[in-house]
Amino acid sequence: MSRRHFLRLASSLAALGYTIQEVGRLADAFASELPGSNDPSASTCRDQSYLPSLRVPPVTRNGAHVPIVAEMRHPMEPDHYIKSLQILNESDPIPSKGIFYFSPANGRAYLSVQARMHSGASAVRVIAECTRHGRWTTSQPITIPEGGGGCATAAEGGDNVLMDDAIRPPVIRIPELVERGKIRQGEIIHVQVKLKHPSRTGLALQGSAFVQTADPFYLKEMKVLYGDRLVSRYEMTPAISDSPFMTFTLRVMEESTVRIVVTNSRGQQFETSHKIVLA
Amino acid sequence: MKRLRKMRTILGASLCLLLVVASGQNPAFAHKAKHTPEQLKAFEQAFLEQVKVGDLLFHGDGDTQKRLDVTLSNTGMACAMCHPFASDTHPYTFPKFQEQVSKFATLRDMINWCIEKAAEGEKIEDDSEAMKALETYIYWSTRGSKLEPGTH
Repeated sequence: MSRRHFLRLASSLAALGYTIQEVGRLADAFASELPGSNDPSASTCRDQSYLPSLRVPPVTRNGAHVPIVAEMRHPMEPDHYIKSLQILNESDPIPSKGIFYFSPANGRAYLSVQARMHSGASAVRVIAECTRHGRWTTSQPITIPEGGGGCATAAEGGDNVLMDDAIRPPVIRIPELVERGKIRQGEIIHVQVKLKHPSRTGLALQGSAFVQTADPFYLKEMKVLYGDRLVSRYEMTPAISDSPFMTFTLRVMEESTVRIVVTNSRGQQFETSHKIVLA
Repeated sequence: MKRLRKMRTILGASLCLLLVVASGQNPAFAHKAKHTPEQLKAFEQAFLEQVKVGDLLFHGDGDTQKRLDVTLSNTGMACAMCHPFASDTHPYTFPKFQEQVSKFATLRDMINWCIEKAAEGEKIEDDSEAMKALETYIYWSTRGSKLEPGTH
């Protein structure tokens, strides 16, 4: 390499290094000028990054069990938080898949659940409601092939058809505990509720129309208590899947008991609790 | 006389073999010995380690799938979404003729059927760590289940 080439290369590298440093500095300066970038709770919901995010499979064969994850990067402070997330598919015979009500104790607005949807191309929508700034909505397309719809589930033979093992009361699973065996104070954990319970819309598909041929039988409500406080409530509809595996979040602030109370459309209540022990 | 000597030799050899077997000296018969509590503890620990991995996979843990290089679902489904508590898996009834797939199937065949058809994921190797872990979790979850032939 000639002396001239070496000097040219060295000066180019120095200039590149300076540029990278300057760009970094400018980016930092720009970020610090954004409203509330250092204090998430001071941010405005008008920021596009606060739009709810929705994950559904673009195509799935099984309309009886469509996995849905709705979440929002948003402050969960006592005076400013996401109050609720509602999941809908407006082209279904039962559009609402339920409304999950949050409180700041959830730490994050996050819900994972499975629902029944009809075949064809449609859109799943989530509506988030903030305590200060109203409602936001996001939707995602979904296609379920003909014959794969999951909304027609007439009850089989009336009210006393449940087999002995058709219902199993809820159990709380905390994946962080399975993975690492401990929970730290202040941590936001995932609380998963698994239970075995049928969900029947009572609808039958006659030709291209849905007809109510039986009473729906489904999980109607889930209450989440942390200590004595009601932290969340989930109002469900018959459009929830059989034995839904539900996940939401909780900010662990103290050693206390998480209690889940689930009520079905016949008024039967099932309960479970889990003692949170800090590491 | 010769015959008597031969008989004595055979008898002696048999006696020796019997003694060796009874005293447990031959390593070939080591598995007949009782396991020590330490050994049993180690076996249980190895089993529960597999249960833990299976539990994570069964409930759709993304990190564990990544680590084991498997894609159990492409839609976000997890085994637990249809089989809470591993219910309706009936592992003790396998192998059997499975009507659903129209063939004689093992539990591993059915795990792969669920992965491909219900969860819309990618079939896993029969002897992979993920398969062993899922199988272990299913057996562990259904321990003590009542087996009713013909009803599963």
